[in-house]
Amino acid sequence: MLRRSTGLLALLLTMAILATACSGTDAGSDDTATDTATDAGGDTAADTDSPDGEAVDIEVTLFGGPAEIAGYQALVDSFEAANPDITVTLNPVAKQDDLLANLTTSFAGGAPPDVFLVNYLKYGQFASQGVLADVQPFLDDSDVISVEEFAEPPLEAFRFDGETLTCMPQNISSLEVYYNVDAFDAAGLDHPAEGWTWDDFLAAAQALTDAEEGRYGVGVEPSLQRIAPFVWSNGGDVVDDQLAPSTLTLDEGPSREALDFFLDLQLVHGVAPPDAEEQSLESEERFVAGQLGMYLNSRKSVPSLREGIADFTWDVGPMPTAPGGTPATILHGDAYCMSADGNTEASWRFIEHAMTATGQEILAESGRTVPSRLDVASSPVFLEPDEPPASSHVFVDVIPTIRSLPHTGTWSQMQNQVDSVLTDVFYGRIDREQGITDMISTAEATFALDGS
Amino acid sequence: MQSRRTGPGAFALRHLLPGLLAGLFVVPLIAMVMGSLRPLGAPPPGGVEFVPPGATLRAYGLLTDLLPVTTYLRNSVVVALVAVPLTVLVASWAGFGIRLLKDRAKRLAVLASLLVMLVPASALWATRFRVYAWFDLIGSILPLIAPALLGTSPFLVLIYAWAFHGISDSQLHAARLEGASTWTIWRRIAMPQVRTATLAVAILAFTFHWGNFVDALLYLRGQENYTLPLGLDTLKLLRPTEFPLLMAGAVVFSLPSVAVFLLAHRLFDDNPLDTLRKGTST
Repeated sequence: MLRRSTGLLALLLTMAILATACSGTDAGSDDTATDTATDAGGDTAADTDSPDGEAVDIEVTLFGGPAEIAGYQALVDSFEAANPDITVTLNPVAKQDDLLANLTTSFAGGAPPDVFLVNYLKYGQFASQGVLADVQPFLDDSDVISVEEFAEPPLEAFRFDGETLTCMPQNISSLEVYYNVDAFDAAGLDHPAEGWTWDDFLAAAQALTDAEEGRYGVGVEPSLQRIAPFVWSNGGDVVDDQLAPSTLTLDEGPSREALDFFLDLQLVHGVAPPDAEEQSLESEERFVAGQLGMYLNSRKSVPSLREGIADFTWDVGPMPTAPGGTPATILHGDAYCMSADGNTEASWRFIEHAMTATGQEILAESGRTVPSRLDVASSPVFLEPDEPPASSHVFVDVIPTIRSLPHTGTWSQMQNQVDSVLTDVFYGRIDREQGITDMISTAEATFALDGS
Repeated sequence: MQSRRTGPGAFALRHLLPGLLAGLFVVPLIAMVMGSLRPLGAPPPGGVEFVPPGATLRAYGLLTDLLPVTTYLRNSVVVALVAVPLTVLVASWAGFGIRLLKDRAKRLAVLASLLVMLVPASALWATRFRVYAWFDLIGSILPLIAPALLGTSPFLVLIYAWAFHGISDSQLHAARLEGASTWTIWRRIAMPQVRTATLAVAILAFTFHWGNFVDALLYLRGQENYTLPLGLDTLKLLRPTEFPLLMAGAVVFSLPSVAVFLLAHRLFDDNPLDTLRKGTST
């Protein structure tokens, strides 16, 4: 028995050593890469913060599905080939919520990634803590890229203090209307185009709805991000102060009119799938299945729609405009941020490479993102004239009408809470007036934390 | 006792009820396997579909093209192979230690274990991160194994404490009089009497370490160190028309768990209820 127990312990120790060796192998790989990079790096190694001219490793954490991760890996490969003195450890996670859990823990634990990709509504919680290094001075000194090459709306959204650029915008997607061209033609409807109004939008949604057959006119997620373009188009606003919001203004004048128009799509007109229908088949899948006339989402739906839709024609059009209002849509944009405690010199070189035309073209090929570089966004690499949607130029045309929500430290938290109430109201689970009151009180309580 | 074994009620209790319960758990597995056989590119089925038209194994072939699944699988296997036996070892030591304490100290130890169980796991994320960073372990798979050094969970320690409680004081005293050390008593007298508890702890430890998503998300760096739960999470982002790939990933992820369950089932006596009823007195 003693021999058996000793054997068991020996086995456990062997396994532990094996596990350590696996870990050590990875470290060894890095060393090998380092050696190779050092050999090939030559003079460029002196450009980084690394002592003795040795190659440095930076960590890049970002989110995305398998196809996007493949694009980011191609970007990393391209960067490492051009910068042999820097190696990149790519840490992809699936969802933004996963990313935030990873980032908050690693910042709290004192070892954040050097670079991370984050949405403009979520970077405020890090910027407000002073843990990010502004990219502005690096951009000012860059010989490779300049601010004029990029679209303004995402730049504005990533200036945390309203003046200095905090993170470097990677894309400039926006909320638009995907529509079933065949269904529009069969119903004799004009296609969504610049200048179409809420009345046109509602009339089309009603004409395309046949609830008994499980067909609906419009699919839209009930959230502040979806409501905001309606509010802005009607001359209203979502908050009282863009830089320092203290309350939502959805219960007032034109903002309330827009909110009611949005809620009425489901509660009064029944042109959006009701709760049970949406639960059984989400709007994007319903659109792919040909049971939805219009679907409101950002550019991120394009790969899915291309893959799934084979038996009808689909396209994209701009958001409808309020009667007597102005065209408006909302930014869906992400940016590369640098940790203040990371290797900012090497991090910037990675970001700089990702922001070149070559870097942006690599990611644009996935079809999912609208490049923040105007030259790439206007090029065939993004517009892909042979691929649907035929009107991809809409994403570029609407850039002057793109607006953004605030990016304060508590915005992400507030939005999660308010969207939950909004969903309950949209699907008739709670009374509309009570819901609006709850949304505003919840938002005020959360905004107050910004000043505490 | 004989009537319990032969009556129709006993038959229903022993076979029919467990069969129905097993059926409830098997249905999702069947749906998962069948879903993985659907052709790619087709919209998801509108309702229940057990035998997909045009069934194919293509999703399994494409899975490895999409993600380094074999690397993820290898890392998960290494973690489970090291962490599960380590958990059994540490949890049994701790449980046996509690058994040997005097009554008052034993109650305090059990109470302390229960209190530790009440601490939300998320409250430890950042603290653990700092500890792992201190030892320069962030990035490797070692933080996924580290909880095993503490028995993985106080619950597993308490299982052993409860199981060892069935060993009489007279047995322990007799062993002491024979000159047996604590180590020898644990190894030759205590452990052989709690095989059922060991099996239960091993299964629970495997379940925890095999499906450990949060620690992998927080502490691993670089895809070469990723484990299967992270890969499966990524597959959840696939388009609706590619869900056979997600199902194929879920099958790959679930198969080891099913294998462990079946193996454990065989290691139990004929009827697990009987085994549990026997408790630690066997």
